[in-house]
Amino acid sequence: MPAYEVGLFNPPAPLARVSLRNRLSGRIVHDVPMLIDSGADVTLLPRASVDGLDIATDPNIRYELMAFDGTTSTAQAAELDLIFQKRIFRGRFLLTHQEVGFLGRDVINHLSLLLDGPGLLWQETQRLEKEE
Amino acid sequence: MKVSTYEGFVEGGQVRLAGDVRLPERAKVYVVVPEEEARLVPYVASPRLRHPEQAADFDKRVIEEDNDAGL
Repeated sequence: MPAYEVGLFNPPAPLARVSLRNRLSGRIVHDVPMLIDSGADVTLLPRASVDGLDIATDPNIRYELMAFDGTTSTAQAAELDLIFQKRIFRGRFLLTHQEVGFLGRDVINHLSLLLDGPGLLWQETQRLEKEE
Repeated sequence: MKVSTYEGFVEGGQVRLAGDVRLPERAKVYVVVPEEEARLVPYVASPRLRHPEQAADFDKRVIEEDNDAGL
């Protein structure tokens, strides 16, 4: 069962390990660390990992991001496959220079995840029933 | 206590030894970090799109991996 990361985050944070794949060449990078971050609108991938896939990015396509304190920055995007929890998430992803990426709501809204904070573990779980 | 020193680096939160150094599985190690590199990496989490309407650019096609034939 995947564990929280205690070395990089204080308090500990749920960390996922994903694979990234160049869908044209099939080249793949495994074990990419990603913070499960429901506050992130979209997923951001560590650029160092994406660089290993030899994916061309268009420097003219950039997206503006805003941090919690209102500061803004821009990020480039890449088209690729993110493989996580036996699913392939195909589409556009933003890139970050940070060593740990963010698994944002564009991905995690497709999953039911249980965060066991006291146990410092997380896992995919069954979908919850809506209460009438 | 006899001590051997190897150089390594942190990559993706894991300590990786440089070169061809191989240690026995579950070998006990001590990590010494040079002072100038011991600072915490600044981390800005929970980024928001400044233009929320762009979220549609990031819609994902989700494929169950069992159906990955030919991808």
